[in-house]
Amino acid sequence: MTRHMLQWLGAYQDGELSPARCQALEAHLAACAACRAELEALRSLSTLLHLEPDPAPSLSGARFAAQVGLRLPRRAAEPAWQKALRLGWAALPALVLVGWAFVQALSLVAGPVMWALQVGLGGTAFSQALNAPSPLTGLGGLFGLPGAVEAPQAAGTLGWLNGFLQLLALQVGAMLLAGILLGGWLASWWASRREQVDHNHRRLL
Amino acid sequence: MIQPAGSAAATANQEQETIARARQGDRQAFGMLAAHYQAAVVNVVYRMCGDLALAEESAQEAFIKAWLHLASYRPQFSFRSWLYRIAINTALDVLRRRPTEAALDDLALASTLEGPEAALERRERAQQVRRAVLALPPASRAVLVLREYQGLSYQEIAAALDIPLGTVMSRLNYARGQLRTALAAYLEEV
Repeated sequence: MTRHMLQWLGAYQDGELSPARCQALEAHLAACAACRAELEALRSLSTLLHLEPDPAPSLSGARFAAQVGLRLPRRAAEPAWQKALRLGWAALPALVLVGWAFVQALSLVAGPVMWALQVGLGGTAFSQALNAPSPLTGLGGLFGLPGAVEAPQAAGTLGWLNGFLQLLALQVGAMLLAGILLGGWLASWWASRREQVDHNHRRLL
Repeated sequence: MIQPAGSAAATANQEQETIARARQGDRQAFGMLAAHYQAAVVNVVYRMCGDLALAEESAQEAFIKAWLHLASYRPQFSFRSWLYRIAINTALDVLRRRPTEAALDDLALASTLEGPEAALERRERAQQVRRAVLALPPASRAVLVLREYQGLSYQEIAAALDIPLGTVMSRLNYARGQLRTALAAYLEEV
């Protein structure tokens, strides 16, 4: 004996069944008089529910809108900090990208420049500038480049290796931070996107 | 005014622009939305509470709530569903405040072609239908109203009422089952 498919009849009538289930139900309906009668009863019920027409509002749309407008309270505007946070979060991937490009460019440029200064290609003026406290010196120090803080002569292979490792640590740290930020942003975007897709996806039954 | 004419995409874009302006505090834009959705919101509340005057008053309340919470509306979702959710909640608030049975309005049901007896019979039938709908538990009634009278898809109903898709289906099946029992006498005549 075929099992009745009563629980799907309402969704079938509403056009909410997936094509596969719809096909299976139609095949069942062709053979099951009881389910056909149930479906007919559901259709009659829908007709009965629509016997009473939708009410006609006593006010026209414009007058209704005017009345609502009179009753609208003042709405607090979005606080500036909230707006800045929202916009900042939206622009996060671009900011991370710019930051990453900046660090890359800096490390690419800083290495050869410091090496050139070490071997004396920049002349005495550059060597003096290197020994003096300057943005470049600070930058070199920041990256742990040999010769940035100490005199170029003092920097040996060990110093260079030390600087390289510090530079590597900085880059790894920056990438880790960028990864965490981007991961958080992507997770948030994905959750929102998924909600939207779920919302738009029909005929799931 | 949001025009119903034109392609669906153009209308949707126009509506999104109006919503964006309203979100920025443009009262005129919000007025356009109120005028556009007035009939639908009144209908939802009316089907929930069965009293047209009350429904019109509650519809205004619903729009005021919508204005106050417009910042929480997310443009990627249906504005209609969002609005219906507010309308349903407003209707439930109204029913909680006035737990007595709402007066059943006599809408213009009589047709010029039918005689007084037929008109009376038709009116009585419509009242019975309305009573049966109002006798449903609010949760099932809300699903039925959004499906039968507003034509929302199950997915839209799920989003509007923030319930799973399976719950939409089970509540709808329950509501229809109850109505079939309550209106059995009238179903044979349809």
